[in-house]
Amino acid sequence: MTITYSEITIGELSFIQRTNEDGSISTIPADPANSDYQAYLATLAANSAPQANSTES
Amino acid sequence: MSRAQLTSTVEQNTGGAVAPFVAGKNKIINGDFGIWQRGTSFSLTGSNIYTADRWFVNYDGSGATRTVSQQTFTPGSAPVAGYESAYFFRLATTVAGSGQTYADITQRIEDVRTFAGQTVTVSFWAKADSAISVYAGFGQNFGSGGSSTVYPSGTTFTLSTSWTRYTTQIAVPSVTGKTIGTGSFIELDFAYPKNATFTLDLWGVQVEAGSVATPFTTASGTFQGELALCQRYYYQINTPTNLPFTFQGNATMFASVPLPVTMRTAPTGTTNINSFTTSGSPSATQIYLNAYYVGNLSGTYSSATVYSTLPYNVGNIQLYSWSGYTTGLPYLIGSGSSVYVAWSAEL
Repeated sequence: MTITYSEITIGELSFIQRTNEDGSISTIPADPANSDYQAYLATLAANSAPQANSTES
Repeated sequence: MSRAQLTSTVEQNTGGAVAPFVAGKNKIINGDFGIWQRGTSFSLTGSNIYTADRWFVNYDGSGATRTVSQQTFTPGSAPVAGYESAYFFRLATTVAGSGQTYADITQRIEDVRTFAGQTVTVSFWAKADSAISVYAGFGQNFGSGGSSTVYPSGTTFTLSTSWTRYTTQIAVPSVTGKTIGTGSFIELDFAYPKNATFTLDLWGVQVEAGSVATPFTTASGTFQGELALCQRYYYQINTPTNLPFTFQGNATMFASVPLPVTMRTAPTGTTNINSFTTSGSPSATQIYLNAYYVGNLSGTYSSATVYSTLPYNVGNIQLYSWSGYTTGLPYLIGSGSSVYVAWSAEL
């Protein structure tokens, strides 16, 4: 199973949702000090362009 | 002369506490591998897998089979006479795999300013099933938006098959002229053999200022202190029982959970409450969320969000797409096994 990301907005709450390799779900805040958010940004950069849904193998 | 008298005399002569007994001298948290919030056995897939608290295993390549497990010392068998630790860390690679260019056991220490410009002493106890080589080194990461990572030179050890303490001194570069970004850290890396099978045991990891390896202590010196240090970076609730949810309207069940320690930064929330299933032949009013049992409710459920808000000492759980409930009323949700909710602010 691969890690997948989605950008989610529910009401006033906006966050990155990551589906993990074991099927668990993570909510990643858009905080530069959060290492998971940094990894998300790195994945976006590796994929060249921001997109609503991205996949990290 | 008693130890208390000796300590007092030395303190008077040196103007401070005696180094071997100072809580906080060891910048490694959970250096005795006493805390395992995430579990006690891990079959490693992916990368950057956290195992014992604060410790993660990182590697590339493919085809390897690795496990990390908590091992229990037989009373009286701990490597330091008179220091009866409970557990140690074991990494076992049973299938070598191929294509590995790096393979590390790592702990990150908050703030790249830590030990900057100083000589530090790294010490640890280890043993292996054969005479394998392990490299101990540092990295200075200047955080998001900061200068490039610096890797001071480390030391390679050939491990014995019996518990042995290994020590080395590392000159940590100054941060003068560097740009320090957000979330900076230094990291201690143990580089273990790549593309090989082995069993490596580790305990009593210490990183301290100066050129002498003093007797091992944990970072805090206490059980509760060490747990609190770990919980600044990670907190997990296993099989939560009767979490008090409230139906907020807008199809949302909401619960707030006090976090025991204010977290380092906005944490990532994770849960395996991610689907809605029934079990057995439930009546129309019995609903299960994976192993979660929701008593006397009915409705639909699609997803969960776990997060925290400033100052990151309260964890929030929201379950979406519910219907048929009364806004403002509380609903207790019980728990089965293998369910967890966690908040992570790891570096």
